Amino acid sequence: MNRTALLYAGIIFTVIISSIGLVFIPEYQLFRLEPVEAADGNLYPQPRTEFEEAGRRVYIAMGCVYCHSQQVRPEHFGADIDRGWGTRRSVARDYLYDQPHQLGTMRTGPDLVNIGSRQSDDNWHYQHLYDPELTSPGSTMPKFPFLFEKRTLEPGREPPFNAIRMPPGVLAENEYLLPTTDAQQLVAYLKSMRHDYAVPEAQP
Amino acid sequence: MVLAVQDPSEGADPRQELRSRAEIDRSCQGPVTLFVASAVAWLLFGSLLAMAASIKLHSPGFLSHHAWLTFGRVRPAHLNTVIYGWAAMVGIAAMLWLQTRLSRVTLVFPRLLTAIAWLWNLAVAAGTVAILAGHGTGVEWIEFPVPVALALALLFGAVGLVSFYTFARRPPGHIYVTQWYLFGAILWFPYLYLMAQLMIHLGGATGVVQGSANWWFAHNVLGLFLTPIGVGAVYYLIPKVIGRPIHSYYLSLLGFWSLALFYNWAGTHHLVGGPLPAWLISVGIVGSVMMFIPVTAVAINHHLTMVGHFHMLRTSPTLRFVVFGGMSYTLVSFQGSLQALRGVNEISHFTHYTVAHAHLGVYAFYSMVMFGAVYYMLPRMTGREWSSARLIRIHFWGSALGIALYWGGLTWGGWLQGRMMNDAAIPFLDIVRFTIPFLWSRSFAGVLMTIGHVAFAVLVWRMLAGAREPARAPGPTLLGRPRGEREINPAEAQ
Amino acid sequence: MTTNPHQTFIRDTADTDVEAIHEPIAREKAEPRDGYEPISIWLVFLFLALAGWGGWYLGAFSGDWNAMVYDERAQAGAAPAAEAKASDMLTLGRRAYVRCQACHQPTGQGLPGTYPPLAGSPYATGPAERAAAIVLNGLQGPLVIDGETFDNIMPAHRDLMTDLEIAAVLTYVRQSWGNDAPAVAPEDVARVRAATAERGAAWTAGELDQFALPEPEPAE
Repeated sequence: MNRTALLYAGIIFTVIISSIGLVFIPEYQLFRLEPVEAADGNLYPQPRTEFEEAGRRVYIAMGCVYCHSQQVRPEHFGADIDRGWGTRRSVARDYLYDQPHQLGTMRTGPDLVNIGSRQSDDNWHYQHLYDPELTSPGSTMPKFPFLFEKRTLEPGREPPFNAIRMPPGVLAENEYLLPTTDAQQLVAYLKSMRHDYAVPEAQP
Repeated sequence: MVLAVQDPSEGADPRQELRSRAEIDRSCQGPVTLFVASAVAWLLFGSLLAMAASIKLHSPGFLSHHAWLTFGRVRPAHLNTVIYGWAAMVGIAAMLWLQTRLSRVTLVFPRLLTAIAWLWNLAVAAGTVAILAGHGTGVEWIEFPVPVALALALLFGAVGLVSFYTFARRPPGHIYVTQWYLFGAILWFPYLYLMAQLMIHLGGATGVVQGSANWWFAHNVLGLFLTPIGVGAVYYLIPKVIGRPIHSYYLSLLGFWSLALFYNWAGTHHLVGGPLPAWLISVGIVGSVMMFIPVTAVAINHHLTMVGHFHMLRTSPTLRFVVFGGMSYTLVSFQGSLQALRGVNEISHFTHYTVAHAHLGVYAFYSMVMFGAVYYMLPRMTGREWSSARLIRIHFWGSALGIALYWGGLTWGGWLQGRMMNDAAIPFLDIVRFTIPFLWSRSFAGVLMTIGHVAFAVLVWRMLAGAREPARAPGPTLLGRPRGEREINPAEAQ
Repeated sequence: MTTNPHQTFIRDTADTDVEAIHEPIAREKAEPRDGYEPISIWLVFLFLALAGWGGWYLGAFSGDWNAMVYDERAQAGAAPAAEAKASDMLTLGRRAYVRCQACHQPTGQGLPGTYPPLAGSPYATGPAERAAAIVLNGLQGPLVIDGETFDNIMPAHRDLMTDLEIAAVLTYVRQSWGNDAPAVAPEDVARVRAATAERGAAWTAGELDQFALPEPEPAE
């Protein structure tokens, strides 16, 4: 082969065509998607609050996506629905407000896209983030002690109302644990994650 | 020595041919050795990060008390240092050298390339620190912050221009198949990288389309950047070392153009079952399965070139690494085609099986070919011989056994993991416990590979620093005595 | 010929004469060339067959290229096929139990000292209405099961789960891990939900021990 121009043209042509096919056409098809009105009169998916969005940034900064996906596969394809990770498959509409996406490709830990509808207890999340083995024996999730502040209790004082309730024996008698702002934002984000509303293209 | 050269190009003065080679290699010396040395340094650093990440997966308490070292940061730091530090830099070195050799002209702008190498190092270092500090973007394979990514795309574009200019100065004639692949890598990568930044980080695409753009990019980093460099290097090194033409030009053509046509489309197989329209997934699956065509063509072409010369795998370090890499390319591509099918993907997706597959591609194929290329290039750049056949053997066996164990352990464990995950009656934490022995086997494999890398780094260090070589016979450093010869024949060299 | 800016990098190479052809360069073989063997006809057939398969696959599984079609088996133009949904209470309950297992664990054993067990627990297997009331409003404060004391907070699930989900998960809990209590119907849960609608607080163990469903408010 010695026709250089043909070589260059072919190389450029193939990659541009593929970006049109896999990126631009889908964008053209999907950029008009809008939230849908559910039976309760609200529009879904709902935009996140600033606090939750900040939590999403903590989620990204901690690299949660390397072990947790955010997508439910359809019934009879894998066991996502059978495991209770969702009541319907995820569809494009669910991700309208995600920037950047966190779909994930790994499930060293369970899928999290509906974690907000299956675990609504802040305290559980705090315990779990502080030391996953407290709530999930055998878990290989890393601890996130740097998302918490350990404080010492003055003799005779009670821990403040927002201290995290811990199982006995984890902290010393005179210690209590407070979540940092990062931890509070992260848990707010986790609790906001739910795809349990109905959309026209997939019913729960 | 000169008589050992059998130059088939008609009418060429053998002495002139040698002079031109020497001149070309001299012109490449500065930038190419710097790119190689930097790549090796990133390989060592990437191996450390890999070990940390691997150990954390079965022993989560390891180094877990600082946000900088949490798994979710060490793992992307590993990926980005080995891809943009090791793989890209050694790839650029090979690309520059192969292009000059095949164009039969000296390299232009060596100072510029040297500056690019330092800036590239700086960018990768900045990006890695950003990831460890929590400023990674959280999008797989494009974790470097946008400014770093733009800098890398720009630098790569500059390397491409130099390579083009070098090529443009060549005497007219046939363009060898390796050069087609190099042009592919040069033109494809900047477009991929810039487009991915634009669509994902700069707001070009909404929601799940970012996912599609993400995997269009990430799969093509392997498919349209590393693979062309790797396959191109194999196309050069096998016939070069054994001294025999490539089997079939027609197969080369078929292999190249079908790769250009199909590999582009394979990326969405990373999202099978995900929230993307059915057609987008189906296109990715068809693109992946169609990869049977280029891979079969290339595999047949390489195999029929090698036939009759497999005994040289005993002696030539370059050939041994390159053929290992070439065979792995066939294996990883066939595996990838099958893995894309919905029925297989239902099990393998989201498991360590995929991780094993990715390493089979980037390590067993690409990195092994690049090791072979370095073993071939550096003696030409420096005029020195490799200082120890034993260290080369340690490198080869550490890497080869390491990646075999890595792939075997995680493929087997990942497959079982996937089957268990698809049975809702098995509690999730039971699956986590079940995978731990396989994760240990990965860490052990990582130790083997790291030992290989250290041996490799020592060899490269000794060669570049000119450390006193142990007393050795003159001639190439071979791994064994060639068949049927009492004396080492220089023509069977590296 | 450009001088090499990195000459110092290679310390020993004082000799910059390009004609100094060193051994590795001298011994290598010629630059690679192409051979021109033809492609086997069988290979061509194989590739054509693959291309045919690809065309068929795209035709059959691309949902009419419609972005709203996610099921690759959906026929072009047809309404999204209704997926077969599970309807038996034990399956639904096992799925819904994902909300409970973070604390009560997949085995229903809880965690000693922290989360009480459901296996063998009288609160799980006792009156269905009381169990439903716990799920709806939560439970707070010390609780003794099998001689062990638990002091923790269970959140209310009134707004998180439907009557069907609560009935299913209770049925699953009451019939798993050795428990053997009657199933719970969604209507039972609906009755408890209505009767406790005004109650905001979580239950305490003391209240539950003498649990009686309040009379539904007559004003509907």
